[in-house]
Amino acid sequence: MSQADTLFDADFMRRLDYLKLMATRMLPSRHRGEHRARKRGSGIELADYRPYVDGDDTRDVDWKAFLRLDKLVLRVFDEEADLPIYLFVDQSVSMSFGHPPKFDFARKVAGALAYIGLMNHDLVSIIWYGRKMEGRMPPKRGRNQIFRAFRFLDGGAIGGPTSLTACFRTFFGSRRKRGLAVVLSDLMDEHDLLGAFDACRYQKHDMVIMQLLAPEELDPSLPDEALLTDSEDGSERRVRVTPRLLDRYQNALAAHQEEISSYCSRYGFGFSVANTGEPFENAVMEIFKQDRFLR
Amino acid sequence: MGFAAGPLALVLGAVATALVIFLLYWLRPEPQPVRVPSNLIWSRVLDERRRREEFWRWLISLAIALVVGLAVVLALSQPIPEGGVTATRTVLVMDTSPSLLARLPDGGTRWDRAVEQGRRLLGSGNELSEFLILDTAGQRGGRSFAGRREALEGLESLTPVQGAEHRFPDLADLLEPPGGGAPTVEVVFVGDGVGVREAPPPVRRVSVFEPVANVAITAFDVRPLPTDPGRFEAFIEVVRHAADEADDGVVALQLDGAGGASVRRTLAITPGEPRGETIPLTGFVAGPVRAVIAATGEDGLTADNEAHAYIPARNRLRVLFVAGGDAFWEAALQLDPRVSLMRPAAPEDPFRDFDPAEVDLVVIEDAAPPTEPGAPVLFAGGEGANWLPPRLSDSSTEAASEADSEDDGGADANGDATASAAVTLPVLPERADHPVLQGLDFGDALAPVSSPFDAAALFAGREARGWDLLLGDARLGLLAVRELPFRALAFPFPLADSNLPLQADFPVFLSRALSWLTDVDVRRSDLGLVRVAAPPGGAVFDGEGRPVAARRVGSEIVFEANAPSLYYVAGAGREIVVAASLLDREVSDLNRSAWIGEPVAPLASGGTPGEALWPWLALVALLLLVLEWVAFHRHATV
Repeated sequence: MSQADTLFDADFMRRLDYLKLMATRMLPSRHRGEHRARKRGSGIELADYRPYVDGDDTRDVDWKAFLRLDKLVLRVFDEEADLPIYLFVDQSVSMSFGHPPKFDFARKVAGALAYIGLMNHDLVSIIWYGRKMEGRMPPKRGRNQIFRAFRFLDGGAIGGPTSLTACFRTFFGSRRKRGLAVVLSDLMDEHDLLGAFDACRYQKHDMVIMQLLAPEELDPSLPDEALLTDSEDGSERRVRVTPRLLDRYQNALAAHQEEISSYCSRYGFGFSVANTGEPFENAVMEIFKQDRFLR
Repeated sequence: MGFAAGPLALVLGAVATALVIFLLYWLRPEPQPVRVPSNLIWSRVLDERRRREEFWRWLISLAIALVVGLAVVLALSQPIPEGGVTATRTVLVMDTSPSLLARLPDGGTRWDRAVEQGRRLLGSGNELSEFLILDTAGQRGGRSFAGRREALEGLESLTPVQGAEHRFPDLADLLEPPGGGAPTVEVVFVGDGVGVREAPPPVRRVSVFEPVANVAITAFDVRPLPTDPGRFEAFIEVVRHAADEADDGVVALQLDGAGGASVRRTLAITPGEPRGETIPLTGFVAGPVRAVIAATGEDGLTADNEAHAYIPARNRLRVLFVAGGDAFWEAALQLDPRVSLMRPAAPEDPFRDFDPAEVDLVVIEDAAPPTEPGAPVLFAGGEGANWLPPRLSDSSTEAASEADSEDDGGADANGDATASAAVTLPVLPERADHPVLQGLDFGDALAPVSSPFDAAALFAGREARGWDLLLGDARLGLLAVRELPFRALAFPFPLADSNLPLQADFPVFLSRALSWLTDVDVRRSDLGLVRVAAPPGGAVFDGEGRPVAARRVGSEIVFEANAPSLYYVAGAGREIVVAASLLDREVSDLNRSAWIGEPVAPLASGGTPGEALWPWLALVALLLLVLEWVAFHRHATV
């Protein structure tokens, strides 16, 4: 693959350096294995106490406290583990829109996140999904896996409709180590998006969702009488475009985003919207700011 | 505001403009295909808009349905617009005089115009209006006001009536309310001012009069020549009423009789001056005679162009002579050339083989049969029978004779027994115009009073058996006459016992009696309702032999003579001919309207009975339903 054929050219690498610097500034004392999983578990650092309930491991009972208080109190530790990062990249037809295409934008963001993750010795997986889970780069760790990740991302191709639900059910149907799932998609999925998120949530994964929208999606410019053809299923809708209709579109889009955002807020997930007409670093920084990727 | 363009250009322009607008309204530019990443958001927008539109559409549809329902309910309840609607009561009096049948130059009749005016009047009312339809002939009466629909039916049921007395109905109770004050009803009289010329104020008159020319037969009769009762002549009077002075006044007259006899005349008639013509009916035989006139110009009324009469005389009389040996009768009858005498086959029982169809007249002297012969009878005899008039008893007769002798000394002067029991034969004044006695004088005649008819009983109607008196006085009946079931003349004494046959007028009397007894019974009548005394079981037929609806009222048969014709009332072996014609100078003068030149209030061209709101409401409901169907079910709006 020549330098010209790849998304991850020298310019991209320079930007990664910038991102790496920014990531370092945001987390100055980070070491491998220092990621704290949200799961309270079998680590060695005491996190909290809570009353004992039936079924708890009696090894975690604080007997000294029992002698003092005459109550069974359970010591809760933060589980210290590697944080797997699952990068889900939407490769459906709808991702082909935009300048640059949303798919390219998504791959760059995924590449950047993979870079940062691998640089931080995290376990990084990249999953293509469209109608279903279309392909996967197995979990990799270590800086020497960066170019493998880039090659994997370079090899992605667009095709078919979107179904995050099918992908998540397939992916999380197998036992996975708890980690951070990053979804890079336009979220134009007519299937039950929130149901798909639930599949991830039930497995107690953390999740960051980034909706990638082209400028023409954020602010459509259409002829007065338009026959809109869905790029994925070919369905057509005839519209008479008026400012009032465009306002309604904006409202519907905002409602769609609000629905996802509310869900994420309710369950502690991260959600952001990226304009693919802007530099991808902004999107990456947006993810960084959510304090989930860099911990 | 006027329009320079013609109506056709206006209509075409409006249609073309509407067509263009319609096309522009329905034309939509072809949509430009645009490929988008996903229709997810657009579908939500459009679905939301569709839901919103459907909500509004649902509201509109509900509103339309409610309006439709309301319109239907209102249409069913037939609402009346508020304001301007008041309950009015109107009396519409229609002139049904025959002059309303006058045909106008436009082909219609005055009656058509009158009915149209009546319809307009009814149409100008409202749902609260009440109408009373009356007419001048009394076809409709009473005081029952009705709504427009019933009033219209009543109006349509009226027709001009001929032969009836026409007068404006008495509406004093409506025009002058008992408590005083203004009348509560409006009275409108629609007519031509010809038959009924006056209407009391404050009646509003509406004239349908228009001058029209008319030629009419105003008199027609067939009568025997005074010198020869067996020959006849016709008298006809024709009048011409011209509306146009250019009319040359030539009228063709034709008389048609039985057996193809016919007479034609051409008459030049001065307008307004009746012209009488006497036409010998040479060659005419007994039977119908029809007179028809035809004018060269306009003729407004057809009913008076035809008149009918009947020649009643028979040329040959078959007389059954039943006499007790007196040769006087035989000699007297044989003097009449029409008479053909027949004698009974069995003198001892003269009526044993009697066949009424073979006999025109039965002459009986002295011996009356116990049952009446089924034929006209001339009877003279002293013996009575149940079918003959009742007679006075002997004591009554003597008393009456004495009283009569005291009154009339001439009778006593004769000196013999017969003369002493005889009386004169005075003609009853009220019967002096009877066809048999008209102009005759029997002042010198004497008759025996052995058993006269009981005049008092006849006058009182007791046991009269249909008989009436011609000769006699208040006590003594000396000549009785009867019409039904067959005509009959009866003397209460044998003619040989009287000097009556010796009187100078007796031959005329006998000739007339034979004619009267045997002639066909002909009655003349106006058009319209005809009443004829007829034997029971009689039926009526017109000149073509078609049955005519008739009803019996007492001893009379009543039927409607709608057109000039001969009508035959037949029953019990007897036939009465009714010659019904419109022979009336006043009726035929169609232009003698009293309203000529007078201002007559015309009726405003009112609306039609369908002026009410409910048809419009029903139309609105229908239009809304169509709109709803097109807009909703054809997805024109959603």
